[in-house]
Amino acid sequence: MPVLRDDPFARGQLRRRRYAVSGCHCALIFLAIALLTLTRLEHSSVIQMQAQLRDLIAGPLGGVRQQLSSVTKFWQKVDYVLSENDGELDRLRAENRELVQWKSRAEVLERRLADVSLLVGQRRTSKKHDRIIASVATATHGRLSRSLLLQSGRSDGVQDGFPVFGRYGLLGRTFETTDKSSRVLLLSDVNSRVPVLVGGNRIRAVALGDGGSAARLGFVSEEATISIGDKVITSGAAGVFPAGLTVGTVVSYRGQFILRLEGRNYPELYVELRRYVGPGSKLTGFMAANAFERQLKAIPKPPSDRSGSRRLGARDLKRSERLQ
Amino acid sequence: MTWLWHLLAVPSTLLLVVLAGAQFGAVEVSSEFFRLICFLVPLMVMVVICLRVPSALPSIAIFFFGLVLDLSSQEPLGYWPLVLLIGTALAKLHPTRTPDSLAIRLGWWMVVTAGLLCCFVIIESLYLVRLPEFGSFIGAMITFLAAGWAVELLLALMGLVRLQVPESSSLVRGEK
Repeated sequence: MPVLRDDPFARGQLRRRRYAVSGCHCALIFLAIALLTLTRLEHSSVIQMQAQLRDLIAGPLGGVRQQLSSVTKFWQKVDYVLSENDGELDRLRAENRELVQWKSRAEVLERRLADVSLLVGQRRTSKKHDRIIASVATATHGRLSRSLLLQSGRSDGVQDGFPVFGRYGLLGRTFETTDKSSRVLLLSDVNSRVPVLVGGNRIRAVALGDGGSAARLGFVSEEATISIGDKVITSGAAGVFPAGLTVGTVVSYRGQFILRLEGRNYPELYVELRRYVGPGSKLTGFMAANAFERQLKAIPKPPSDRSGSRRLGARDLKRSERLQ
Repeated sequence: MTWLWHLLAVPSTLLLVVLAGAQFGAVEVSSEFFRLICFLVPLMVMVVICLRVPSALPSIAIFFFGLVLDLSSQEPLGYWPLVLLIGTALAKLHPTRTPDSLAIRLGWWMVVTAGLLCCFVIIESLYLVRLPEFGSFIGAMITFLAAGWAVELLLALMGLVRLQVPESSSLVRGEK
């Protein structure tokens, strides 16, 4: 009776109920939860295993990325259309026109510099030893992790804590460096904490990654006067970054000041690393971020700066929000 | 010939791994909505396979594929295996004792989508220790649901609803 034997409805005989989800499936779900928990706790064995596996896949992924660069550009255009970039195109066009003018000016100056170098008889003193160009294997702009995977590691001279620059500006810093690969913790990652100075008044704050495409300003004094459009630069405090690197611009206030980061999310194929190892270079990850925040909270707040010109402050903005 | 269907696990897993690699080689987008859609494409393929040819995609293959996704996307290890396994578990809970109709499958897509939405929100809330923004999740899930319905309707139109595989052919013979 092949019909009865194959019939899953089991008519005519009693059969044990078969569960749709097998025990193996449930066990794998628990294994995935355990892995996620260990990753969250930054367990050394899991981190090491991840680094070793990443070394293995960095090469092939980088190759795929290079081959599919045209597809990447297409997706980036689609994403640009879908994302909220009202007026951004006009601003970029204007910026482009200005940059073209600067380019021609730079070319003239470069020719003059070459002539002068020949006359003086000096060798060109490029700082190539201070900079490393690295190829990007993959980039992640997720909510849980925002990072780049580079195809350069310790064997190429990369160390943890090197500032990384894209075509538009500062992107982040290197961490979890292995022999053949390294990761870049982007400024917008939830674990990113960068001490910064805001605006002309040099107000101290910390740029906190929010897991989105922007960053927030935290630990801002109530009396601080920050206005929309203020430039934000690294302060050099804690030695996470060298001082004076442009981080971004204050663009809005939604409970906290929101920064538009200088190094935007753009499909970078190559990035530039600058050799810098400060005392805070190893400060990465969730635990380190929490420890960093605890240290910041322990620091007494600076006295209010009333010498600067009166501008829209954090307190004013909060008050106006309450009124609305 | 059942063993032949089990052999399908190898090419299907390889295909999904290649898809993941190509996706992270090619796609780099800033919007959360678009990123979620990119991730949900292989999941949709998995749900369709699990509903139609369960033996072609064993759980261990899904777990392995999730780990590859984690490594290539640099997400925390275990994140994508968890989401994919829960998604396929929801799909496998499809009531096999009811007639396999198009309406039921369309309804089941809604259940899978709602379950996945909850899964995403719970995992991210626990991981980040804060509530995520729901806007992009809901937008991506609506798109996922619409894409799932589109696939089902397309397959129905193509006359492929009653695929001749061991599971479905036994149903057909039993009815006769």
